[in-house]
Amino acid sequence: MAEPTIETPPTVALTDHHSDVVCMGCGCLCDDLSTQQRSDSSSDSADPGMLTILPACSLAHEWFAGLMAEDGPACLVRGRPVSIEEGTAAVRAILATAKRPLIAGLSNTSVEAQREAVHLAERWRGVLMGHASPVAARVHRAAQAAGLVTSTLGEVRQRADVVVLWNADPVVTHPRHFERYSLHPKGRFVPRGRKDRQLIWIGSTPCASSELADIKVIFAPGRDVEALSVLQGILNGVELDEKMVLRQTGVSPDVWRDLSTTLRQARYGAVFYDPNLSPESAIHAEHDARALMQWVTLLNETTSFVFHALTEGGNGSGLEQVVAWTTGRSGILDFGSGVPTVLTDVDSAQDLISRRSVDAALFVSSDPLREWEPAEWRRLGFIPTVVLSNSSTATSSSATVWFRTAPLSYAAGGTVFRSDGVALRVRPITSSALPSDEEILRRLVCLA
Amino acid sequence: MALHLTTRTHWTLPIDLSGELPGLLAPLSPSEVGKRKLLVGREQVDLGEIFSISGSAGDGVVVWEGDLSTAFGIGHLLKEGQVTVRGSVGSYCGSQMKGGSIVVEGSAGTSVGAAMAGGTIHVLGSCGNDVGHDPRRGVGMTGGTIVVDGSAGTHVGRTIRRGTIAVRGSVGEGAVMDAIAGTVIVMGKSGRNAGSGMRRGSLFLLDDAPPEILPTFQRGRSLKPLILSLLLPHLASIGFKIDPSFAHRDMRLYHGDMLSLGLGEIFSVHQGDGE
Amino acid sequence: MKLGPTTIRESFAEAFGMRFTRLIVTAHDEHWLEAAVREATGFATSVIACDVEAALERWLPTGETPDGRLGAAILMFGFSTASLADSVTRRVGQCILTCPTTAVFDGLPDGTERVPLGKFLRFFGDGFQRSKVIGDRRFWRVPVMDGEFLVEESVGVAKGIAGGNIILQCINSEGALRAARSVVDALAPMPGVIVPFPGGVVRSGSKVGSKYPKLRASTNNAYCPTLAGRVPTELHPNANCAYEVVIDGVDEPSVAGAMAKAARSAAGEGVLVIEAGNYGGKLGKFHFPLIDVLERFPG
Ligand code: SF4
Repeated sequence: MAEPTIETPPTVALTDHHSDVVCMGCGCLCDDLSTQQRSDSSSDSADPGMLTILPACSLAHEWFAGLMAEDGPACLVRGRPVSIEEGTAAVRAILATAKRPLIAGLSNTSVEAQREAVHLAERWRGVLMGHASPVAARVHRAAQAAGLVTSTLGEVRQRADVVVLWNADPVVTHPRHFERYSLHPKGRFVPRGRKDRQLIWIGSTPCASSELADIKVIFAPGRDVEALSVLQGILNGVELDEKMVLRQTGVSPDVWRDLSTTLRQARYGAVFYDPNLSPESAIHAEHDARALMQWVTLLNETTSFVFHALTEGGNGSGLEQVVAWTTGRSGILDFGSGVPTVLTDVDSAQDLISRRSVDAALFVSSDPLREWEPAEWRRLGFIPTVVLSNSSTATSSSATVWFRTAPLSYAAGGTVFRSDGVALRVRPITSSALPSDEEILRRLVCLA
Repeated sequence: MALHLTTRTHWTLPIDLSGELPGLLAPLSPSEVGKRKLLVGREQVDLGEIFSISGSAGDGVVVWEGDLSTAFGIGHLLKEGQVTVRGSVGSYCGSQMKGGSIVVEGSAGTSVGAAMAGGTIHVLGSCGNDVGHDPRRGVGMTGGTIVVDGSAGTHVGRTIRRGTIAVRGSVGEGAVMDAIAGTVIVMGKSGRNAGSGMRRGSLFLLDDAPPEILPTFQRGRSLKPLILSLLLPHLASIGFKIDPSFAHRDMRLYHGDMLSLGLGEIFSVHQGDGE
Repeated sequence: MKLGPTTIRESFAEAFGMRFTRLIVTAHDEHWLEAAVREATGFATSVIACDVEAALERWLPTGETPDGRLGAAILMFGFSTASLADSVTRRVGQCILTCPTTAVFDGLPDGTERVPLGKFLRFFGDGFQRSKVIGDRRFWRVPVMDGEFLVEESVGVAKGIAGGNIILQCINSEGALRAARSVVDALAPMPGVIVPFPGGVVRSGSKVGSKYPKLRASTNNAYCPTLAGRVPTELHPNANCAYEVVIDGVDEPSVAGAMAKAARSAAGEGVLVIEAGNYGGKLGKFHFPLIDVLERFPG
């Protein structure tokens, strides 16, 4: 298949070449990129034009562009440049006086850094934001309740002859998904690649991906659970009220039956769902994911099917893993009593801060303020904040202590997890004098 | 003479009150009560620093007053005695309680009566998500009664095994989801996805609006749910009155969820479209 | 002792310790309620040959029943808890479960023992039965052709007393019937007692044993007017008709109170003698001397 053509800058005197570079621009977490740095640029240039990325991917460009390490002092306390030692001492003072510090924004850093963050939360008995987003948390909860049949994406690549997209548009959100995992690769059991695969798109809003599908089923918006109930009912032999099915899903029962027959004939099917795309609320994501997981489990009674959620970029998957293996829990953890307790009455860091339920906050490689209402900014102003990030952001500029850290995958290495649980080694493509998140967090832990 | 505990100031950090049960406080003098340690965030704070104290819990009655919206776990593991909250309360009120009674005169946070096994909870205001359900352990209530005069959030009575929940207002999505048995009465509107995955148990929808019933529920006939006539006096005894004529009204029965055991039932006063 | 023109003969009733239960039956209306009660308490006069002694205790207005419908309280007396358990299930299963619109509840929640009821009858639902626990009581809903049969999981059993009685000796049968019926009418609203014989009255008073070895009881010849003159008789010289009212009650005071009330309501013109029947005093644990009882429960 032809690569999407993207304007790439003329490559002049290429010197710094890297292969097998990991991109965290979307949940694909491609680890097969090549980058070339133009010789005339300094190692910490902020100009994305200086980097050539192959194969070209629009999101990857955007993502790497956001990483270009910025120059500047390694640590600022209330805007004043200080040494890292002074910075960590300031953090210690904040953590020591706080009654309930929050440690959040961990989904864009390495598992090594995440592990240190868990230690830090445990040491200072704070609250740890153990998931990437409320939606991710809800999908996780659905898996806990419903059970999950899944696989690695490599298995999908080698085996899947039927690929189902449920309210998902990877063409836009995960540009290389089709190419790397789900549609085009020639696999052991699908030797002819795309020709051996059937692409089925099911959803409410037609999109770029649905255009490529062999079979399309368009149901009434927001009726995912009803549609999935019908599909499960058909597999289970439940007698369905035809009129009710049509009225609730907007699709005739015959279409659902034909679809079920097609799916049953799959040798190996893979269902991809994008929880960030359709639901108006995280609760919907949970209900939709739960129904999808149950449906996939049912499909496994007669053939093989796996479920995958299309996740956001970054290392949210790693965060869930780290939190699970270090604490045995998942979600937002409160170490206040010394034992990690799952908080179930809040969804996000924003919730905690707007209720003033925490009195200090540490954000790692994230910029929560970008998404928050200005009213919440002011709330955040009431409490001391510590920020680890490379570029100056709304969050970092309002921070009490800001550590400028080397961005993962650009200037810092580490391990990340792909959404299917496969660990990937990330090596930096440039060197930096700045410490990584991991190093700063380890210092903070040791200091404690 | 009940023990009165009144917050001294406005609190935003969570206060863990899960250990302060009437039975435990009963033999203590006010100064001993004041020396009890409460977990606020990560700090142990004297109860007396947060609450002013008067009276005694010798009669098994504890009254919490003031700003308690961040206090969680009030009445956790309650076995006997009475807890009254003059105001709104945080999450996990009455969780895992076995007996006794709790009255919340304001609203309550999430997971009211989470996994409770006995006793009664009356919330005069509204409730957050997961009434009767403990999402930490994925466990629902196994007994007792919760009545809510206001409305309630999502997942009311999720994974309920036994016991009764009645809500006067509306409830969010996913009521009685994955119920094993038990009874939930909703007088207002119910959100979508009600009863999804329920094995047994009953959901009564007493609102006149047409209900949203999942396609994997099978429409049954109409009947007078005599069992309501036993339930209503029981609810009335906790202070939750429902017009007794409901028990003698014809209700539409839906069976489901056919995707699980299918022995659950939804009763709706709205008759649905007939053939 | 005299009550008006009637002689109260010094005598005692000999009664027996039994186990009893109380069922609350409700139905859509009086007609079906009566039908159910009639069936459930049929063939239940005396444990000499019936499995239980059972009768209506009293009708219950809508305000007094668990489900707010018209109801009836039935008392059933049996020799043992085990035999009572068996009879209650059979009787409810055949006579109340079958009757349109009915429901059955435990009328003795404080009973010292419990016997299963819905616990067994639910199986009639063939897997479609549902249970509900309300407060700490469990109910079963058994699907039937008119909807659901609602029945309590189990019913309470307690110790009661059977065999309290009075015997009326009258000048003629008209007067005797009138007196007997006024006794039954007087006892009807009394809680805690039943009169299990037909219409509350027995004409075939019995003695223990018989000349036929197989027969455990036979006619009480000393009270049969047609035998007076042939055999030694207990009848007043002018008595030509006698009736007995047998009373089963939940405890000693209610039997005694009922006997006193019975004697008072019977006494009058045409009733020559009122006494209490016994078997010599060796069989029954409870003795109710009639005069004593009347003194304990003055009008
Ligand atoms: S598909 Fe996603 S992970 Fe892969 S290169 Fe593009 S943005 Fe990066």
